Amino acid sequence: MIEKLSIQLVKHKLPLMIAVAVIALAFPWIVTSRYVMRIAILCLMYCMLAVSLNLMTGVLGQMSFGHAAFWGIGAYTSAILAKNLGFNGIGCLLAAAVIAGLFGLILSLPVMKLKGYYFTIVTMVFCQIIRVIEINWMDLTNGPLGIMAIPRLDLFGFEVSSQRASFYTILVLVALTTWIVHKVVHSRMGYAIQAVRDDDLAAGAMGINVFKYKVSAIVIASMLAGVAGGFYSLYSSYIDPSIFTNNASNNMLVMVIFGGLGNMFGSFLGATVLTVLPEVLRGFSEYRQLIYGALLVVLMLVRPEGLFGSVNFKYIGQRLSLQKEAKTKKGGKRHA
Amino acid sequence: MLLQQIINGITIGSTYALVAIGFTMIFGVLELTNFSNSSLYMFGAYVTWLLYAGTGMNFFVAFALSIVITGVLGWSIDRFALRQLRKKHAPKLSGLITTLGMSMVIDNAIMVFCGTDSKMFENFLDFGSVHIGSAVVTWTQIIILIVACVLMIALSIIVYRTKIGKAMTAIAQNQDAAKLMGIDTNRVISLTFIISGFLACIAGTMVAMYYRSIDTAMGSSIGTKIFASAILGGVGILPGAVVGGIVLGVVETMVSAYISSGYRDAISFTILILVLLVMPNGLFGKKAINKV
Amino acid sequence: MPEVLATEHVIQRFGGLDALKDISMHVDEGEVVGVIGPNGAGKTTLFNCITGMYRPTEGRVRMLGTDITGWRPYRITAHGFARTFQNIRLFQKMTVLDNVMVGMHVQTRLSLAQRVIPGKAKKVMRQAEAEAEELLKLFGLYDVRYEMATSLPYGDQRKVEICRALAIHPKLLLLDEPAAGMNEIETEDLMNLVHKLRDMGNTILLIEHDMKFVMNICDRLYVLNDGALIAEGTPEQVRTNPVVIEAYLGKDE
Repeated sequence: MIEKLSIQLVKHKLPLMIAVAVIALAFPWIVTSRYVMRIAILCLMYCMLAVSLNLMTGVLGQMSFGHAAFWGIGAYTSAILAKNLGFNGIGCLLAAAVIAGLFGLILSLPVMKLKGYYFTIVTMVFCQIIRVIEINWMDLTNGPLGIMAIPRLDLFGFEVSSQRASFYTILVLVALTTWIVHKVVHSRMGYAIQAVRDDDLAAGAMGINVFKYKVSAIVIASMLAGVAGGFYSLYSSYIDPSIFTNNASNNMLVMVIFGGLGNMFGSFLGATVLTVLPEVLRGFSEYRQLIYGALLVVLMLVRPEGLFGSVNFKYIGQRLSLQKEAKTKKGGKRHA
Repeated sequence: MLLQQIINGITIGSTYALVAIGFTMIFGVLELTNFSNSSLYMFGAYVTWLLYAGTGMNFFVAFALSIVITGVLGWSIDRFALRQLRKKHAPKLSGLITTLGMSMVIDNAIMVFCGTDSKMFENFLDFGSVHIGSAVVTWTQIIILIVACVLMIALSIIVYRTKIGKAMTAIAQNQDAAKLMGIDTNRVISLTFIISGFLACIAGTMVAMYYRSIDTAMGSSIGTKIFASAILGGVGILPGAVVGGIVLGVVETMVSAYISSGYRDAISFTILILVLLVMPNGLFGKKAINKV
Repeated sequence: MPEVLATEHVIQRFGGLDALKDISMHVDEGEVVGVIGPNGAGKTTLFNCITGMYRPTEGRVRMLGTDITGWRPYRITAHGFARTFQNIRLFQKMTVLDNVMVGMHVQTRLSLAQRVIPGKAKKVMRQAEAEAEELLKLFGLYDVRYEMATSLPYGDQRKVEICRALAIHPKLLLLDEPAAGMNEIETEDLMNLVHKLRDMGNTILLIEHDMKFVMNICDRLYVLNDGALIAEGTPEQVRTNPVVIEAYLGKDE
């Protein structure tokens, strides 16, 4: 079913994309509820996180249980810079990207030596380390109390205080993220990264510097997550270490796997569904997490590779064009 | 003072070791990072508590019953979820997410049923203490360490010496080939999960007695440490899990006593990463030969 | 003819085991050279030493006059060697075309200055794709270029692997048991292909088990036994060499 749906998605790619863009742009004018707007903004932020994590886990194949660490690093960077040093919005987001990228570089160094599960556990442990620092470095992070009254995001001198403006800001960031990841995946670098994922030994034999591409992908992913964090702290104006936990990391990974490894559309879907679902389940209050967990198990049983994990839109497109070609050829012969 | 710290460290380490053995065993057989392990640990402690405090039955009967119940839960995770995935030849990752989902279900079921406040837990192993120089060792500490070692030895004998253990090794190396050789892989894997359930319950209950309290976060707070212990010792290697757990426990206590208690986890985890950089397969892991 | 590859007194030890004992050999441009020997003779180990998967314990490996001993595999490939693997190693989640495109990695490298030019990267990738398609046509794989590589029959997978290696534009193509696991027709097909490659001017070093295959195709042979070189020469010379017959062929006949 998903396969058929995917073919339709590819066939009607352009109108669908326009439709999505129109809906996204009109959304803040249709919806008036502050609550719904907030969910929508967080949803977009999670899309950013999921897409960036997918680059690392789905495209590069390095499973990470520590993506929230970069999110947190970005959030703290921009909060501290905005509050203490009066950085403007763009400056904060850029700094968040740079600092998160720097930590990504540090984390990526062990990948040279550690394979598979060992690296995965290191990411998990890394997230804990960062959180411990967030809790204990009182002078910088204000410890468990968190940072309050973070100045609002301001862009080119305009303070982004309305929900609407925040929505458009994160929408632009999401579009940018998607564009970057798309560029990376469909380039020479993308071939190399995917080759490393499938078989790093054979990739080396193809002249690919495995280490370099692993590091690059991880750094790019962590930078994007850092920007998401930077946005988050300026948007919510309050952060504390209890937000950037291993649990948050797990949730991001679940979004990616729910949507399907390596499929960016899937990540959007995963982030959206898994952000909205808990809100929908709010009525069930204490059973919420229980239901969430059970749904996860059911999904894995029904579709172990996630919704779009076995789907590659590029390949579907190629096959469709081949079919079309064959058809016109046949048609041409008939005329002759 | 130093001796006392080491003793405390070893005790904390043995509690990690107790859970890590079950985790590492499942990893060794299935190459599965089992997230539900720490939930079973919490579940076991709660079931013991519910049985003896709720019904007033003899503690040791309650303990034994709880071990069986947790074993059954461990078995059912495999039977009703993971086995289905194996049938479909699903990617290993989906198994991991399934255990993550299971862990959420178990954790939250307990939370709904028992509430999130911490519960008093009586220590039935409180046989006083022994003095070694200036240090004090309670019998509870000694028993925890002994139980960890005994279980490790017993399991090592099962895994490394018996027929069923050979079957486990065979499955670990190649599930399909093992099946072709006439091994009932599902039965062996079921058994692995039952044993890991037993271990989790024993660990949970022992730790509950040591701290004299239980709460629903006890599983998630130990989760990463279990992974760390197992990986430090060389994942899949039973004695490795015990040594890894104890080393982690001792390092933690030392760090919090002499460097900083706030940064305890950060420093001990950094040490773990550094150890892995020097020994990428853990303390006891064999070097995997990359065959071309 | 200039020398493409030379090994000088290469020794490879694993623990106490001498997998390779003092191997000196060379391949000149335009040649097709075979390495034969019974199972466990150290043929693949030799390949791994040449392509940088292992670092030889002693001795040197030279490529086009440059000492490449101890280089990482990707550098050796970038410098001009390409290899296939005994147990085919295709990129599983990629199509046939994309597998070959990965092989284009070295060819599509851009200098920093070129990278700044807008559209340059895209143009280079498009050219590479066109070339990859030409290569696939040559191998008769053009029609299946959008199929997943691992869904092809075994013989075709082997061809994809060779095609992928050719995309590197190697100065030397190393084939590790190309006919392994193939049936008679597939082997025949492969033999024609190697002939074709050689006519195109490729220099090839291959390991092979199939004697008919080797005798038919190679200009020169090296015979390995128990990690040591026991003979070299033309197929005719090797066939009649008593040492070889005793060590290797003798068992067959």
